[in-house]
Amino acid sequence: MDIEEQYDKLYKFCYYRLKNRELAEDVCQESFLHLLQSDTYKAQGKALQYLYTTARNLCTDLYRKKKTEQMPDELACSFPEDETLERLSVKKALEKLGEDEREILLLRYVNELPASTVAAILGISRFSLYRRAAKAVENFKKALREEDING
Amino acid sequence: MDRKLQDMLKSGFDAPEPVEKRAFIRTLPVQKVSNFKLLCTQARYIRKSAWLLGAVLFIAAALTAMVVSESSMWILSALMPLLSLTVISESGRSESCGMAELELSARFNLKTVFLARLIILGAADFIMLCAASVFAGAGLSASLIYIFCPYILSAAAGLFICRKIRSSGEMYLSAAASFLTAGLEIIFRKNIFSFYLSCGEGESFLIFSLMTAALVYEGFKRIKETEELKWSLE
Repeated sequence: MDIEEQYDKLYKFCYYRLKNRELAEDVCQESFLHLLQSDTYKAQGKALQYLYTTARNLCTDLYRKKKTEQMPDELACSFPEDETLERLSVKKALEKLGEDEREILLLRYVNELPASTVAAILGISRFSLYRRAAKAVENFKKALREEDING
Repeated sequence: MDRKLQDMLKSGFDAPEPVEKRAFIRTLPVQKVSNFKLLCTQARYIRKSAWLLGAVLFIAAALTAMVVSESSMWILSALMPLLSLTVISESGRSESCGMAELELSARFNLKTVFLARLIILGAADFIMLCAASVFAGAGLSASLIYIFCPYILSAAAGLFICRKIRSSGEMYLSAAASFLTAGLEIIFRKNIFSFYLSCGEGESFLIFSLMTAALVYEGFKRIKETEELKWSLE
């Protein structure tokens, strides 16, 4: 496992769940430390699954804990000056999708995790994942078309 | 999913650069790999041609060993130096491919990789030599003089040439040394046979020990050379 590459991918995953750079990095690093302490999953070749499941759980815990404190949302105003028109419409199209669909697209097509790993992280069957992923792609295309028409 | 759509998705899921990544990765302990795992990994990187050459020579030696008598052991003896080519070709591979400098700074540096490959091929060749001795039904003295010594002599000469000559032609010269050893075995077969008849197990073992010492010396010199190369690069 290339730690640098996986760090970037996991950080992106955390960032899109927490919408905060610092918190995302903290969770990402904590997940790696958890993984390094656990030999069982590494030996079974399920390091990625363990890493993402830990990060997902930590994000959920953090979200619940900080819900009352209102987490600072960086995502809405992230570096607008270098946004291209296409990127903006892609982002808007992604916003139209549900949280679950965004998560599947991020894990499967952006972070390029194997289908079996994504299914295990989300706790669903592979068949269900294929169905949901196809639906998410379809909805994304539809949202993108709408954005193009409106934009 | 088509590539364009995937690229669009990737651009949509952009995130600010992580600032603590480098510092965090530096703090992570380097994951240790056991020696056995290192050897298994390195075995996969040894060229198929080296294994193939070893296998072909072994089959030829095994077939020869089954039919040769004590007086015609020189045939087997002439094949053994060629087996050492597998070790020599792998030992100089990093330099001949221009990868030595890069491998020095890799996780498993050139010295480790070189030693691992030498151990793997040396062990494989040793098993083949022992098997050839068994197939030939040779005694200790015959095994040492006709099977082990030509191999060791050729390997030591090859390592010596690789150490002394630093050019892309070192492999060809080493191969020439192996063929020369094989040729000498054929030319002086009668002298070697009479020497074999005259010497006992003690003398055979002494010659074998001296040649092994020369091989070990050359091996160490070659490994030390990789360290010197490291120093000169720093």
